[in-house]
Amino acid sequence: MTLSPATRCAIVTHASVEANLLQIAQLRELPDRLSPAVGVVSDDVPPLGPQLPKRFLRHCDEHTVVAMAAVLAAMHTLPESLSDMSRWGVLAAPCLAGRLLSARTLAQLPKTGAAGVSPHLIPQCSLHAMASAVSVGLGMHGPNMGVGGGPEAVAEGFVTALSMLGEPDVPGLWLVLTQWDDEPIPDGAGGATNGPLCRSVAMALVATTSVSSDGPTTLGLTLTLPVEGGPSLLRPSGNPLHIKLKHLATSLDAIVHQRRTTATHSVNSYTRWSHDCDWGARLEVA
Amino acid sequence: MSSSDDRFELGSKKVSQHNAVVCITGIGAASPLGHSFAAIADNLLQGRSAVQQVSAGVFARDQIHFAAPVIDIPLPPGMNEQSFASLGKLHQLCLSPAAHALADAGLTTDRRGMRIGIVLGIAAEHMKVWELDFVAGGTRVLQPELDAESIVHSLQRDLAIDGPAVTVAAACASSGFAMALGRKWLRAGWVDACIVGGCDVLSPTAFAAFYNLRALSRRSDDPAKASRPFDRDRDGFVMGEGGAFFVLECESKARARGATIYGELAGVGMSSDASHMVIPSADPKNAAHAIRLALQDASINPEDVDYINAHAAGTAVGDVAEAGAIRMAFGEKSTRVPVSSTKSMSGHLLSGASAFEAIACLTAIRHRCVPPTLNLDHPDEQCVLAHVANAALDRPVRIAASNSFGFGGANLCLVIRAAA
Repeated sequence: MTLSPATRCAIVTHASVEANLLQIAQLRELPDRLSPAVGVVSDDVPPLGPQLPKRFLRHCDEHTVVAMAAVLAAMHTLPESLSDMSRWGVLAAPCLAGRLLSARTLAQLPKTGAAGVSPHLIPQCSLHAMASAVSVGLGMHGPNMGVGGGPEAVAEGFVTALSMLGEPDVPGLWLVLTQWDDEPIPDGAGGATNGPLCRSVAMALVATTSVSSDGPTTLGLTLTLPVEGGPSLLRPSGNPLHIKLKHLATSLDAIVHQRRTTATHSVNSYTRWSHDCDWGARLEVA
Repeated sequence: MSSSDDRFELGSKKVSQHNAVVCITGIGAASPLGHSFAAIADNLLQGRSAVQQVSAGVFARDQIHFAAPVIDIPLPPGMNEQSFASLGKLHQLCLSPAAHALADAGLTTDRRGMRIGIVLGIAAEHMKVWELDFVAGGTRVLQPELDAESIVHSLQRDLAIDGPAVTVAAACASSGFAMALGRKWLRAGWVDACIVGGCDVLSPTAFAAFYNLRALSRRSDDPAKASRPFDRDRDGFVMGEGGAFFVLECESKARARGATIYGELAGVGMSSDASHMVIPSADPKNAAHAIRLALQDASINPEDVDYINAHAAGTAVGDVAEAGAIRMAFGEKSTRVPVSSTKSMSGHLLSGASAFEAIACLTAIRHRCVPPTLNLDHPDEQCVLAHVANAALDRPVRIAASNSFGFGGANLCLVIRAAA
C-alpha cells in the first residue's frame, strides 16, 4: 500500500509519569510535587507548574490523577512563548478508566440501592472526565474532549489531535494518554488485588506553522494516509492494536535525547516511533 | 508548512477541501420518539412525550421510576435477528441507527470505492458495558482480560467500512463533537463519507448517580410533565436513551452520485467553561463564544438564524446559564428567534442528545415548522427568550442552531442549513 503525506504537527514538549496505587493516593493531594527522577511525591519537591485548586483531584479517577501530574510535569519545560494556554484545547485518551470505582459501586449496589452510588461516578470517571479536569484545573477554554476509552485509545488520540489542530481560535492542544500496566483486578472496595501501574504521557501540540524554531525537544507528529484505500488491515474481532505507553514514552525520550546529543539535525538519522493504524494510515513521531 | 503541505493526494487528484460544504445524506435513529426521520418529525411536531414509567429494577425502594426508553430497537438492514439479539444493548443502540443511516444514504453496498470513516460519540462505554453485564449476572468488571475492542471498532467491521474509527466524549455534547470531527475529516480529505453520531443507554448507576447529584426530576407522579425546560417549576432532567447517526459527505461528491441531501452541517463552534466539573459557569461568555464561533464558521450573522434548538435539559442552573449565553450571543435578536428544547418530549439522550437534536433541526427545516417545548406553562423569568411553548410554530426555517453543553464545561453549537 502506498502512503502519502497528510497532516503534521509539532510536539513542543512532553512528559511521562507512572504511579502505583499508593503513589496515586499521594499525587491526589500533591499532583505538582512529583520528583520525576525518583518517582517520589513530597512537599519537599518544588511545584512544577501552576497550582491547582486545593483538593481538586480528590474525587478523580486514577487515570486523571496521573494525567494531571504528566501535564504539570510537561508544562515545566514548555517554551516561554507558549505560556498563555487560556485558549488551548485538551484531548485526553484514557484506556479503560473507571474500573475501580465501577467495581466498588456495582459490588455495593444490591445492598445500598441508589443511595450507595457516588454522584462523582459520571462526572469524574466517564470518558470526558480526564480532559475536563485538565481544562478546568488549568483554565483552558479551547475544546475539551475524551477520546478512545478502550484498548486503541492511543492511536485514536493521535488521529483526533491531528484533526483538531488548525481549529480557528485554538492555538494548541494538550494530548494526554493514559493506561494501566497491567490492568487492575478490582477487590470490590476501590482497590486492586494486583499491583498495577498507571502510566501517562502528556504532549503539547501546535500546528507546525506555529513553531518558530526547530529546537531539540520539538518533535514532529505525522499522519500519512493510504493513497489506495482498502480494508486490507482490518482486524479479526477482538484483537485490538494496542500501543504500549511505556514504549511510546521511552521512544519520545530517546528521540529527544538523540537530538540533543547529535550535532547535525539530519532528520533521517533520528530514531522514530511509528504505528500502523488498521485503516491503512501510519502515525509517526520523529 | 505551506498550505499545500496540508493536502494529500488520492491518485493525482488533490482532495483536501478545507472550506468544502459538508452535508447530511443519511439519517438513522433508535430513539424514544421513533426510529425514522418521518416518525420522529411527526412526534416532535405533534408535541408527544415519550416519558413514561419504567421498571424500577434494582431501585424498587427508590423513587427512580420514569424515563424515555427506546422500545424495540430496529434490526439493521441485512442483519439476521439472532446475530443482532446476541449483541449488548449499547452495541445494538449504536449499530442499528448507524446501519440505517448508511442505508438511507444508499451506501450499504454501492460504495464505488469510497473510504468511509466513523466517529462515535459515547460518554462512558466501558462503564456501561461492565454495568449491564453485572446486572445480567456477569463479573466482567473484575476480569480485565475480557475487555477487547471498543464498540466503534466492532461497528467498523459490522458495517464493512475501511476509514478511520474513533470514539469521542464530551459528556452530553458527545454526539455533536462526533459530528464536528467527522466534518473535519471530510474537509481534510481523509474520508469520502463519514458516519457520525452517538448513543446512550439507561442504566441503574446512571440513574442513581444523576439522582444523587440532584440533577434528575423527581416528579414521579406525572412523568409526562416531568421534563419542563425553561419552566419555573422545573426540577431536573428526565433520562432518555437511544442513538442518532448521520452520514456526512462533501456536497460536490454527494450531488455527483445523486444522493439525497437533507441539509448542510454549516458551522461548528466549541469551547470550554474551565469552571467546574459539573456545574455550568454562571458567566455565559464561554458558552456564548461557542455559539459565535459556530455562526462565524457558517459565515452567518445572528439575524440569519431562524430557530435555536436549546440544550435546556430542565435543570435549575443549566437552563438559566444557556438562556444567558443565547442572549449574549444573539443580542437583541434573542427576543425574536424561536427557541425550543425537544428534551421536553424525548427526555435527555445524554451522549446521543446532540445528534438527536440535529434531527429536530432538520425537522424544522423540512416541515417549515418549529417543534415546541412541552410543559412550558410558566416561563422562568431568568430564562426570557422567544420560547415556542407547548405547540409547534409554523415558520420557514432555513438555518437552525443547536446548542449542547456537557459536564466538564464542554460547550458546542452546530449550525444546520437547508440544502441549497
